[in-house]
Amino acid sequence: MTRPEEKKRPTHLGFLTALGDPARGVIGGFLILNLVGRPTEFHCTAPVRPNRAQEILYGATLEGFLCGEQIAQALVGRTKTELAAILTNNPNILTAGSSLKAPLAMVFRRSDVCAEPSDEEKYAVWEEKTGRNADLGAAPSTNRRIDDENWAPEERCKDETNFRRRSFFYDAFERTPPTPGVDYSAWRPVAKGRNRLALPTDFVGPDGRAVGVDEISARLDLFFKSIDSVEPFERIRLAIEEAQKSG
Amino acid sequence: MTGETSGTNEPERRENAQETPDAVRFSIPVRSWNRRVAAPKTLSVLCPRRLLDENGRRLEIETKSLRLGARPGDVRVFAIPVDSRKKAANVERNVESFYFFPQDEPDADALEKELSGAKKANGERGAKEGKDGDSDGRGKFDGDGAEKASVPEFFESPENPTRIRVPNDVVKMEDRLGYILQPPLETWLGRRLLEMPFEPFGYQKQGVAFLYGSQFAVLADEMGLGKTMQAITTIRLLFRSGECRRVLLVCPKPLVTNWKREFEFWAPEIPVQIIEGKSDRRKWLWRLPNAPLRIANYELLNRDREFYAPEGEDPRVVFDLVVLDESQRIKNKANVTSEAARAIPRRRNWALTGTPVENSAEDLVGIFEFLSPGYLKSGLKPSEISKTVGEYILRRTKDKVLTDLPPKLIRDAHVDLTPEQYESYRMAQEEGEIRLNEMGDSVTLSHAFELIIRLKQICNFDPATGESAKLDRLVADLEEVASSGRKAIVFSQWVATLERLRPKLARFGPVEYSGRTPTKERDAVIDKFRNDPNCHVILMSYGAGSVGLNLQFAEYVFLFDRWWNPAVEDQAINRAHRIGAAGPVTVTRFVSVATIEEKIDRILQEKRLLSEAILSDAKGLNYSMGLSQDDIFGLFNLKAPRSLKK
Repeated sequence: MTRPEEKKRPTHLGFLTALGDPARGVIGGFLILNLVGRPTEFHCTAPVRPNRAQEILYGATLEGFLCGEQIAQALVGRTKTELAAILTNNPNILTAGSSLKAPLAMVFRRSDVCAEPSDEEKYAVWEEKTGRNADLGAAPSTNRRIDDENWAPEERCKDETNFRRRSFFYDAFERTPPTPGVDYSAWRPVAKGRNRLALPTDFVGPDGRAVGVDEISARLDLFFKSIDSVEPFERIRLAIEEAQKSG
Repeated sequence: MTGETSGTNEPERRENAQETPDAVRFSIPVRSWNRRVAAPKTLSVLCPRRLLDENGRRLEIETKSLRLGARPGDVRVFAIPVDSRKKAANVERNVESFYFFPQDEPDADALEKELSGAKKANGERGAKEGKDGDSDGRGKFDGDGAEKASVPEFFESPENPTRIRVPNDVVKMEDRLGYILQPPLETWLGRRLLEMPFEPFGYQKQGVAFLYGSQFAVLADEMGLGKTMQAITTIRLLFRSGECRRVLLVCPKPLVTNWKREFEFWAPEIPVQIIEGKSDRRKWLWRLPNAPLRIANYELLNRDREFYAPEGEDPRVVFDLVVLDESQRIKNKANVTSEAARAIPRRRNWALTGTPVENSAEDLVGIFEFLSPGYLKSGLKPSEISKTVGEYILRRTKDKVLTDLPPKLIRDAHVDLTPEQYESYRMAQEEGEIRLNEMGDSVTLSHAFELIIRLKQICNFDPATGESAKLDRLVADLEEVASSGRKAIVFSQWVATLERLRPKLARFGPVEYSGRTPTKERDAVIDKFRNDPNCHVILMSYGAGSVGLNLQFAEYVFLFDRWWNPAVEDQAINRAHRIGAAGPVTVTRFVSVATIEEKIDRILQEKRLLSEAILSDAKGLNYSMGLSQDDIFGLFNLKAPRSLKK
């Protein structure tokens, strides 16, 4: 009787980002690190500029098209390495969604997110918990925040812990406005040390197997013992700068 | 958008340029840094093939493997000859260590197991490592041991991490990216990649980042800033990344055991092979193909030249890296040690010295002649030298980087000779000057030196009566040192002086560390000075004790007489004033009033300025401030004879 071979877990992690803007050209960079943070592959693109037809066709979703469909697909398609996940710090890349061969997750730096709920947000929680209205004066944005459930319908403010999780995620997206066409309900916020991630909830791998948030989170834990989830993006930026200098 | 591919062999054609990004411009597997190095599968097969005795014969052995930690691929093998005819001593001599470098891509399951195991072990280990260290760079760090050893659940890079420096002479883009894409040092030095007994200081990380990418470099940090630790850590990283396989470290003979100890502390996984013993054994050691790290002393270099650089044939071993400690030893490019060092077959090299410029700018030329022959020409002005070599020298001083290091208080003790002592001094000086005058043009530098030495010795002890004003003052100061339970180092130029001092200082429990102290006993002397509460004084000669020792538990340094060179004096003082110093270090420099010592003191001050001029890019300072012939004869109000000036 032969025992079915256990599938080896992926030992590489991808970091994917895009720099620049459509007017001057968007440059994509893709760095693959091993478990201890050493680079194994690096790919980058030349500046990608949309043509006039693309500008008209995609309109507000142009950046998402360039970053997610063009750059991300091309760069990730270049590697044959099996990846535990692909992290990005550019929300436009999220438009690639689950079309990539590994789960795509968004990374936020601590400074990009709200560590503690603001007073207004605390009042909002209090309102929801108690059912009473706090006299906040003109604070329409607060209500909007609490009532706006499009981005995470399953994350209702049941308690303060949930609220905090929601808060940082919301705040992060607010600071880096979400790309049109990205369904935010497809990501769930997770804290990893001081940094925050949004993990995909419905990723299906190339082999047809569904990979849940918990599994992705466990995979990442292994890497984040020795790799900071934000730092490698700086390496990509420096490498792209160097590549540009060299022409 | 036009498709254009570079960095790949075949340009890619795209059928629909509108639907794909312009191009994946290049796609490089990051170069050799990420070369996969597989650990051997069967150790017992590998070892017998490689273990040879000094005559090149294969030894029958049994192997014992030892995993250091649980890091995959981190395997060290001790192979012990199983030959009953060998005596125990010989067995020990033939024990050989093989070091296999860790795999680049650790196994995820093993890693997970290790991480969960490490969490449990944290508390115990932290408590064990909690006590402060006592060597270069390991003394004063924040927090207790448990904190240092604790493994955070998630690694967090600092806001401004220390990145590997990209050398300017690396021009190929792929190579430059190879450096840029490396993890910052904080990631390298994190618990996962390299376990460090103590968290290095920021400037030390910068030193490592500087050395790591350098094909040739001088680490010229002021004494006590941890050059040793920086060099060892960088070597460790180079081993880990597979950039180095064979490293040779050359240091003065008295420091060999010190370096071995430091390697055991900072890089316990690297087996150290000291080149020593009889000629046959040294030859075998030089030619061992597998030893990762060898330590040789300068004295051996010339004697063993035939072993490492045989004439007319290719060398058996080409070192990936050669590190010269106290590299001022090769400052004179014409001397045999310097020539021997240059003959070592090597791919890259570094020099470590706290005093790259001791006498003149030519010292630096000598060092660079080893590092990169022909790069630094003789006769340049200090500002030009500074500009030429600036990129390759890293020099930090304590006042700049160690703002929390206890202060160093230097006081000149101006001592009046006793009347009898002064009378002896006056007579010796007058007689000497008359003699020098009478010699006319036949006088040489050695005649002048003889007189200087004679006069300095009288300043120490009166030859007629044995009186010594300096000793009286020293005893008075030591009373205070001993009564407060502290320790002091007394330096002298002469072993004879130390031997005269020893009985006079008997009540302070003195120990002696000089050229006459056998090498095997030196560690024991230091241990006694460190641990014996009744031993308050160590008597040291500048030659034996001024370099490489870590005596930061001593808070007082006495320079009983002055050396010719301020750099050597600084080295001596910095035995105590270095990282880990418990409190302020008080340095007392004895200067006999109205004697030649006062004049020498003035010259030493000027020499110090010269060193600063070159290393800090200062302009407009007098270039030649060394102890010239005019200076030497000027000590006696004489002019250098014309014959010497020619």
